[in-house]
Amino acid sequence: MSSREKILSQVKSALRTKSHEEESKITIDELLKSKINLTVKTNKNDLISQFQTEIKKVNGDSIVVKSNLEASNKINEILIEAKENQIAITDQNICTEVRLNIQKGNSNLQFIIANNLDSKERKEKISQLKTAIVQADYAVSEIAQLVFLYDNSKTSYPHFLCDFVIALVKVSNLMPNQFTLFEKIDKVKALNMVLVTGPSRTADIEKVLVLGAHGPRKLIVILIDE
Amino acid sequence: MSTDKINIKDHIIEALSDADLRKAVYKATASTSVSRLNTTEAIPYWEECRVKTHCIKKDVIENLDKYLELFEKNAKNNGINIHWAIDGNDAKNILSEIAKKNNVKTIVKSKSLTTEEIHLNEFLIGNNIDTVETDLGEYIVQLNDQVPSHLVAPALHLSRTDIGKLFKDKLNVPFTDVPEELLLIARKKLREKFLSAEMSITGVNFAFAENGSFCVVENEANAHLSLSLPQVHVAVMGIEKLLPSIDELPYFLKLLAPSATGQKSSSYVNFIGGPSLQKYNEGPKEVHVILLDNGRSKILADPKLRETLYCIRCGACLNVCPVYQQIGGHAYDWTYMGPIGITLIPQYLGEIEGKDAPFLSSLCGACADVCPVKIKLPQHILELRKNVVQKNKSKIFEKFAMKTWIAVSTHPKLYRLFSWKIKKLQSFIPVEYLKLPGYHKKRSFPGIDKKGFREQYYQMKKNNNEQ
Ligand code: SF4
Repeated sequence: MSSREKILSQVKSALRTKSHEEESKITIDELLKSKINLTVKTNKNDLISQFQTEIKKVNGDSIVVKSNLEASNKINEILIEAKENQIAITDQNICTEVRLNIQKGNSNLQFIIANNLDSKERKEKISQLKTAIVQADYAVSEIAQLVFLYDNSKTSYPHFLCDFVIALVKVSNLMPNQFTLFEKIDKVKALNMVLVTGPSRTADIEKVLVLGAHGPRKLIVILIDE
Repeated sequence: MSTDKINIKDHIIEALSDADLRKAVYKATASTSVSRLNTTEAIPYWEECRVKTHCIKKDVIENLDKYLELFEKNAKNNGINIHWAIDGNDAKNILSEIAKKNNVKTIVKSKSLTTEEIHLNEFLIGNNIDTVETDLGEYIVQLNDQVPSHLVAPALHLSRTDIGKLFKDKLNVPFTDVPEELLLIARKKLREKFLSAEMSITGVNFAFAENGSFCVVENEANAHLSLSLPQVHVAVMGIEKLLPSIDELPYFLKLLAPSATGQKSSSYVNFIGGPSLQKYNEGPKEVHVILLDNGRSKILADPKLRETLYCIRCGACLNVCPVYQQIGGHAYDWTYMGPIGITLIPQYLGEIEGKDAPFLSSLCGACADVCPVKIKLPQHILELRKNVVQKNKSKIFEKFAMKTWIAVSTHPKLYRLFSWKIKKLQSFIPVEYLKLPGYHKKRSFPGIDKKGFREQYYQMKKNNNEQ
């Protein structure tokens, strides 16, 4: 008998005896849903301000802009201040527009498009860069979470290997909470994704919070409210 | 069933004599419990969410065979290799085959209690595979030749000075006890490993039957780097880790981080739905999931105790347990500790090997109050104690003491006489000479109050009447 057959037959035979736990007569679903709904913010400005408050609590930062052009200008200022000249970036649409905008006015900056590199080169090159610009597919305002679908970004190296990450996200993709996010999300794309809340962190040494455990130390989210 | 031998009693005596350890454990658990409380109180549907997740887990466990087969089918459709391991040896053989086939020399591991349970590191290192833990706490305990002392915070028993000395000795770096500097040292060493390892091993927090994917929850990004940099990824998953679909996940995520660390949300939730190298030009070319039984189907066979399989390993029950707070995790001498540990130890190791574990509880009920999935821990602890007693594994002295107690406590006059005698007797024999079970030179018997409850009660009543 293979291990598979053994395990399944043991599980099946164990389940012949019903659980001793009493069947619950009350269904909690309606009450839970109504209580969750009470916490949901629907107004756009409330969602933005909730996201901004929450991201501060997880040691990240955020900026609200009105267009991709304004986002480009803001990022350019940040990069000049950080004295960066090589930036990792993905080839998604907003990232591409921002890259082209910045390059027009700042020819000193060199952009490394992660998606254009082959697997080995991508790993080596991106791990040497300090700063990355990436694009999130959704954000969750209640917990300041960003959602990255691999089917869209096709890379996560800039998001994780660089110390400083600037993430762009459209305000129209701001979800109130994870319940609404999981209702909305494309189930096939959700097969490979990552949810990110703030920079990487650890409190493994005497419970002292230290940022930048293995991933980014710094995260700025640019909310584009077109 | 595991064949591990454990020695709880000696480890407890050792832990009780280490004042620094007790201080460190108490400080860490108490502060996490406060953060937990602050976060949970701000969630108005916390209690309802607990009930919901309990019901979801109940459905999964009561239909485990169906969910396992569905997960297997859908994961295979996603290109994931599914393996079944009846026990630790089976799992190790599967892993060793995968490593051999891929010519693996270095493995990066991300925190996984399931692999601790089967002593995987020892096995891999013994097979000349450089195996490195990458979660900071796990890395520290691995360097210190120890195992984790907490489900969530593996190095909770060590001070920053201990870690500074450890890094100096083992990594050849100048001593520092500054957490930021210690992290930088570990980050640099581990980054090299991430970039050069051929294979990674993680655990699984939740797997989804409906779409055949799974997720790994973390704060440090070490799991993400493990999942995305090496060419081969292996996830070792206890068969109970399933959820029907991804739709149920938000309820669990809502509870997990607050219960584990007091955060509103963990920093990263990584979803893996198959190999990605071909699709995205990065990430693993092979993904394997090992479905590990290792005694779980035996636990399932007990209709009373199967609820212990609902555990999501958040560690909240450890943080509030007065026993854990005094002795720390190593005293339990096994992978799982605290209230959930003492219910799992006899179930995994058998009632003879695990006979002492269920008694490491004051039955105060704090664990049940905090358990996010509402496992009735005290009830299970009592059930396991009953099993030990019924199978005659309790000592003759204990049996005699219990029988005497039943006889005395059910006859008030006899009780009064007995307690009067004991009170008198203790003025002739100093308490340190009373060799009672559970008491030794590190923990002396406090003695019986000279006044006793009755006398105090009547005195109080009298005082109240006089006022
Ligand atoms: S028993 Fe409950 S509280 Fe304890 S680790 Fe498991 S889920 Fe958390």
